[in-house]
Amino acid sequence: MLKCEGLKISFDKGTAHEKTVLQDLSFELQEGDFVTVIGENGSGKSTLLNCLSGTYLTDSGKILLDNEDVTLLPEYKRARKIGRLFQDPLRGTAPHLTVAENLALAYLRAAGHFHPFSRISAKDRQFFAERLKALDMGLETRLDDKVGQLSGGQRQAMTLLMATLVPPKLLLLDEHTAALDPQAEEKVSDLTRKIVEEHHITCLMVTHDMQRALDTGNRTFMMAGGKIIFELNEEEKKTLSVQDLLVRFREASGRNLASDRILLG
Amino acid sequence: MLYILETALRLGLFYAPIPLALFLSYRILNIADLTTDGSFVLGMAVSVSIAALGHPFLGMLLGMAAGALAGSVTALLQTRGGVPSILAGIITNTGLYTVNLAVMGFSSNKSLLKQETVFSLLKKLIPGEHYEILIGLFLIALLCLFLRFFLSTRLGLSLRATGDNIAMIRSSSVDPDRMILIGLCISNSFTALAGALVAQMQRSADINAGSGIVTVGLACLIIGETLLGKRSLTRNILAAVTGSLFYRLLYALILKTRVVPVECLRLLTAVIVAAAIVIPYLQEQAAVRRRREC
Ligand SMILES: Nc1ncnc2c1ncn2[C@@H]1O[C@H](COP(=O)(O)OP(=O)(O)O)[C@@H](O)[C@H]1O
Ligand SMILES: [Mg+2]
Repeated sequence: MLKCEGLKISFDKGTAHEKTVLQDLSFELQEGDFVTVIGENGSGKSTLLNCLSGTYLTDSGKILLDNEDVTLLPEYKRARKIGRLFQDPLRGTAPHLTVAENLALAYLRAAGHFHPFSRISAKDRQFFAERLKALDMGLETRLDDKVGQLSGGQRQAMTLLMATLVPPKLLLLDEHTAALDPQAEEKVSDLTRKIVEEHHITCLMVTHDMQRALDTGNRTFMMAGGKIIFELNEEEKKTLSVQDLLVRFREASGRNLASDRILLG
Repeated sequence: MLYILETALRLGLFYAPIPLALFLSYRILNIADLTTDGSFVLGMAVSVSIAALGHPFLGMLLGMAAGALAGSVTALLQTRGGVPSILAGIITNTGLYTVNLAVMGFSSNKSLLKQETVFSLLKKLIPGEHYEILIGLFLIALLCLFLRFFLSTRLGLSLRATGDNIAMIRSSSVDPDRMILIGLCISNSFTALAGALVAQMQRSADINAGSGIVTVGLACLIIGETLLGKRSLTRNILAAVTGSLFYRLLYALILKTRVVPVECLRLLTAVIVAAAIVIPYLQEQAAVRRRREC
């Protein structure tokens, strides 16, 4: 499904600040895998997602998505297959467009059969309302409100819907609930699980909540220094506790996990 | 007085495509497009030169096409060449000076003597003496309807989102470079249309006629938005036209009453535009400062 081989990227090349952020990173995902990614601040989690989405091009290595080599494909072209959510709920939606207009744009990802001069039809609106209703946030009655008027939680739920309106081959979530208040966080997390399972979407989810990382999905990657230093499979996720994770981290890296921003559960 | 109103109405309509163009580039795409001055003169030059050959309508169309071409140069410099957007406009504008001279046969102005213009031809079809205003009204209505329709299509939505949240548009699998190209082509063809109309109306094109047009256009846009508000797309579009009419009225009144010397009008225009952008910014800053203090 997704195969990464020897990904490497460094920033500020040729300066004194040159920093290798991903080094020789390889892994493979099967169709329907739901992987949670944890690791210290600066271990390269966001950079990995940026490389997969095409925001950054890697210096070397290969990315195969769905048997297609996408290593050098520009971001907007990969977006047809990849859905993405960021920590900042403002990043995924256009604030001056209405809810319906935002959803119509997301719908473009199914592109190909849309005429550029077609407009949002009554049927589209009905479809959008149905899907919004499933979010259970009362957004189905606000199709014509500007998205800028919605709360952070509502905007993030909408972004989630937009990223999955046409189920993507791969969904990338980068601490997408971290900026929300606890109630909205719970809500968006539940929605994520529901939508990903319903459509069997292959998904990489970065989180700093270790317990949630263990509870969610069928695999977990622990990253440090731009590498995956160990991985947990489905069995291990069920049996291991957060404490066990810390022990595994020490064994793999020879030091304690810096836990300033990581929730130990 | 009636004459003043008529003149203002006529000029307001003929120049209205410029604030409409800037609505598209500046408000929707968030690009300050300095190609505008050059595109206006390009429209003038092409329209007069082709009309001189006996094809006034073709002159209009080719003028618009030339404007679109100029817009595409700016867009490509910016998206494919890594030139910052303001500089891209300035570069194109500088180059256009020579192009415009060349179109007019390397002379700094070109006049139509006895040749037909779109106005002299249409005059035969439209009864009454207000045929110029009627033509202007018809054209502007057409442009407004086109813009309103276009911006609610999926292509138009993609364009609007490009200016609103470019990261989001990339992740919707739309190529923002293409959106900028399409947007600047349309906006510069509008600007060139204004030039083409004005030139055939006054039967001449002048190499310097475009200087400062972009600031005047922005002033029109801002005045219109102040008068009508910017709550909906329809309102935004009508605001651009209203602003253009109001500006020309103001211009005509000042010309007549001389409350302000005509030579100072450009300065006044510049002050209006600067103030309209600076004042809201300062208000925001003051609000932040107040919050810091308490
Ligand atoms: N565009 C960039 N330019 C320079 N350094 C960067 C850039 N993006 C990320 N980095 C660096 O890469 C390292 C990893 O960052 P990141 O992937 O955001 O970590 P994480 O998401 O795991 O906290 C950090 O040291 C960061 O400063
Ligand atoms: Mg991060």
